[in-house]
Amino acid sequence: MPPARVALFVTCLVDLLYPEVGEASAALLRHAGADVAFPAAQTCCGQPQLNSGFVDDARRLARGTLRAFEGFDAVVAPSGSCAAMLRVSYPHLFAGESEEPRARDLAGRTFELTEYLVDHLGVDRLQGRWEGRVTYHDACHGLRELGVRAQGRQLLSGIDGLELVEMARPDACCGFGGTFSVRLPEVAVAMADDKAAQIDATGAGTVVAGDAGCLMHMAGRLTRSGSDVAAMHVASLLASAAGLESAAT
Amino acid sequence: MDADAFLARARSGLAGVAAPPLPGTRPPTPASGDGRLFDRFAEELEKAGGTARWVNRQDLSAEVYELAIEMGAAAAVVSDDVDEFRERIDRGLADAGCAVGPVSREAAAAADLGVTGAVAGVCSTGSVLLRAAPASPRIASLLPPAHVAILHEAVLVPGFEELFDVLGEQLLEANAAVLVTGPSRTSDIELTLVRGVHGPKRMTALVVREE
Amino acid sequence: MTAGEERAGTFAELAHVQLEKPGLRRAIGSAMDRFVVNRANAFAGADLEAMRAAGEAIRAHTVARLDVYLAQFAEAAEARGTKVFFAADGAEAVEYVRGVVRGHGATRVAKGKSMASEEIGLNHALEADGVDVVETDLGEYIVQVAHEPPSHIIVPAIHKTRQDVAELFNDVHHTDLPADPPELTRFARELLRDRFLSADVGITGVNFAVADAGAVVIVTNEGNGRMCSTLPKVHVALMGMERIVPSFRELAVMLPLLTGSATGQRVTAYLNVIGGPRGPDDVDGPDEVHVVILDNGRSRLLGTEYRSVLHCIRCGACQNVCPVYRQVGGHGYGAVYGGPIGAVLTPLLDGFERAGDLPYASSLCAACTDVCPVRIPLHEHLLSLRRDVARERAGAAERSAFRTWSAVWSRPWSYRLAARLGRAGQVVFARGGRIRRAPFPLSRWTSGRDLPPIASRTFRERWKRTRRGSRNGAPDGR
Repeated sequence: MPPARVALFVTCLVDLLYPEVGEASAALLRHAGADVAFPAAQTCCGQPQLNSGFVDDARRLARGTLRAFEGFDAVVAPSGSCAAMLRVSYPHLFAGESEEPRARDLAGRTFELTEYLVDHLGVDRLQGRWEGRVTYHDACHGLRELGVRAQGRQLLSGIDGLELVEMARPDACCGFGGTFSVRLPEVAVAMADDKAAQIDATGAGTVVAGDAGCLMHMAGRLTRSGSDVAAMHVASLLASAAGLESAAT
Repeated sequence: MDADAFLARARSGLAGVAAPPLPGTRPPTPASGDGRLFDRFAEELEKAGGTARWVNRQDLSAEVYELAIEMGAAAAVVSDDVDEFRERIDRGLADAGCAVGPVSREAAAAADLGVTGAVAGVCSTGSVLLRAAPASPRIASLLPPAHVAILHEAVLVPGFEELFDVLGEQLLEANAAVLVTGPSRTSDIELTLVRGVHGPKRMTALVVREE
Repeated sequence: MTAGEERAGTFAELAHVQLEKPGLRRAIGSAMDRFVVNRANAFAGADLEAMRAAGEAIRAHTVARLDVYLAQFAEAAEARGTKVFFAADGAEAVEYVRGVVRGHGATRVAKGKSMASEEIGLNHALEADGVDVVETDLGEYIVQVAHEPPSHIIVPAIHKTRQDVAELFNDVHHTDLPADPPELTRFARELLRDRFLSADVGITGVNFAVADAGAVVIVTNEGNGRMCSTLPKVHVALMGMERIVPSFRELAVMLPLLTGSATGQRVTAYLNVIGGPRGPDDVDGPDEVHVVILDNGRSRLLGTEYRSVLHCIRCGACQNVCPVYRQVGGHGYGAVYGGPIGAVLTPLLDGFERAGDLPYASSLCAACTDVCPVRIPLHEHLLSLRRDVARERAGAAERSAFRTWSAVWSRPWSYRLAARLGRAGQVVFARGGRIRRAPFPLSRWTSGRDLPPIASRTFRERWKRTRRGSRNGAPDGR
């Protein structure tokens, strides 16, 4: 069977701030047998605009996204919230508009990274090594809109030397919430401190999540408060553990 | 606002809104019956902080006597709705030195114990259904610090479905009803459970079995 | 309009105040955790999803035929001697109740818990008439004595420790009570018992009105609902117009959903069913029963996409899982209804001028939607409200900023250019691989957190470099 034609939807945060996460994602997908492409026309899914109530602006960005991903079997993002934006929000965003059929079509073939690796590419276990205690944060949209919860944990559990411990409330929101983190910074920081205390209680040296927004927010607070805890994207940790090169073949 | 005008406002808001149907069947809930009767009733009432006893008719007065002694009850009010059990209840209370008066607000407020009947017992929750009627004053189960409800095992129903299916009918013969489950309680201070707030602090159900 | 008082501040302002209260977060957080556990225990072994689906269907059906059921209720209730009053708004409801109280020459009122009464400012209005109004639910009594609004739908004094309560009672009543819940409760029981026995009028809320029976159902654990609806000569029950079920049948599902979600109980200690005033031969019971049915902005929602907000059964489960509520409590919202349901309902009832900031008081995590026993899509409503608020009230600067942002980012070339410009510009701010201080609006981020700088090579730049000379993967070579 020919490998699936997968378009990497890298997301604006990863593209601009965490490019290594994009490379790790591509490497993981390739390692699992997918034929990975990066349609360069992609920019941003429009979530910040929608999040702030500017629906027309969100649609404008979304149209570009619809165009960028035409023709691929699957669109995979290292982000539950961006994948959910396409899979759950785009059909509503274009309800009654001429783009609706294309939005529904794209929605039906968009996935979050760990979900795609485990549920669609059949990755049961990733061979790799990574020493340390890690705790996993469930990013909200991936969890509640896509049902992604077990997959990342499954992949992490399979890594030799990695000790995965659960914090008290792994599914509690970290306080990023997109524009929320800037509109209500005090509350957002208090929520990050709540997560930091939970992470502390586990003794983990690293918190792992599948969303760059969450990581940016948690990491930003952790470093500002002088913590030693590192925040890593699940793709980066897995690719590193598996010794995957990020260079294209 | 005039009723018609008020309802017209609602109606116009709902113009063109299709009402989905009510569910055809009710899903089971934690308050649904599980086939057991008294055993479950007793289990649930104990969990709620009350006590349930299964009593033979001829042992009823002894049972009441023991309860009254245990509570140190000097005065009690008894609802007329205990009817067929009345004599035995009166005897038990008299033997315990507990004075019984007619149910009035003053008597109920001063009593240590209120004894009432119940028109149903719900096994899934350990609850008893009391109906407000001339023979069943509400205050008998409300004002005294202890409440004993006496009911026939034949009026036990498995769960909420059976209760609510007959509640409408029950209410045709009464102006009010109350489903009582154990003693009154609160967790309003630091979520710490405290029993005995505005209603009784102690609640016992005596289920009289048929011989 | 939810009460005549102005909101005490914006969410941001109130949150700031709340975040500085020692112990508050701890108290609220541990109470919320307990509620979550209680709820899970309550529904263990049950098919909760089937219950929620049935709950949603029952509420959706009922609200979609609300006029029919309210008419049926009024007819059945009036046939039993209950007086039914339809109040278009809070002012009408208050006037009616004041009239009932005045008409009986009443000077003492005993009150059971009613969020609707808070909504319309009933207590203040009666007190201004010189009527003594005592809240009889222990938590409500505590906040009444403290002159504070309730901070949670189910547990109004959740923000107070036992020490707080002891100090409060001792201060107000000149007692020497220990910080012991049973002792404090015993004191309140005795004090409030006198008030029940001497009250002229009892005022309660309603959990569910039953349309075909013309009855109202009130659930309590304390017994104060029974007291207020039995002892005084007059009982007034206040309900939002949407709090109705077609028949008792539906309560077999709705009540376990309510009590399981609210307190983690299968059933509360008392489930009061009030069918009407006392009969001529009854020993006790009120001579008069009044049911006040309140609109106050609700009917305006019926024909809108927000209709499902009226499905709410006021269980408080959404508050118990809200990570924002966890940090600020009910008082952070500055409104009668707080937490997720409050953030949705308040702007809809009070308008955007007063409460347009509330839909933004959320990170849209959707935990609320996940627990709602009747499946109200709260997080979707929050998002829709933001759209409505932005349309009506977004400032020119913000609107234009977002428009520019989407214009620049919707074309790959301008997106790339913006990234390069940002990267050049950030040199001033980036130190040691982090940005600790950034210009507005990112200053709001950097006040409490570091920011990563734009990467020296973005993902697409790296990808392009490693693919130089070959197709970059799109099917048509784009």
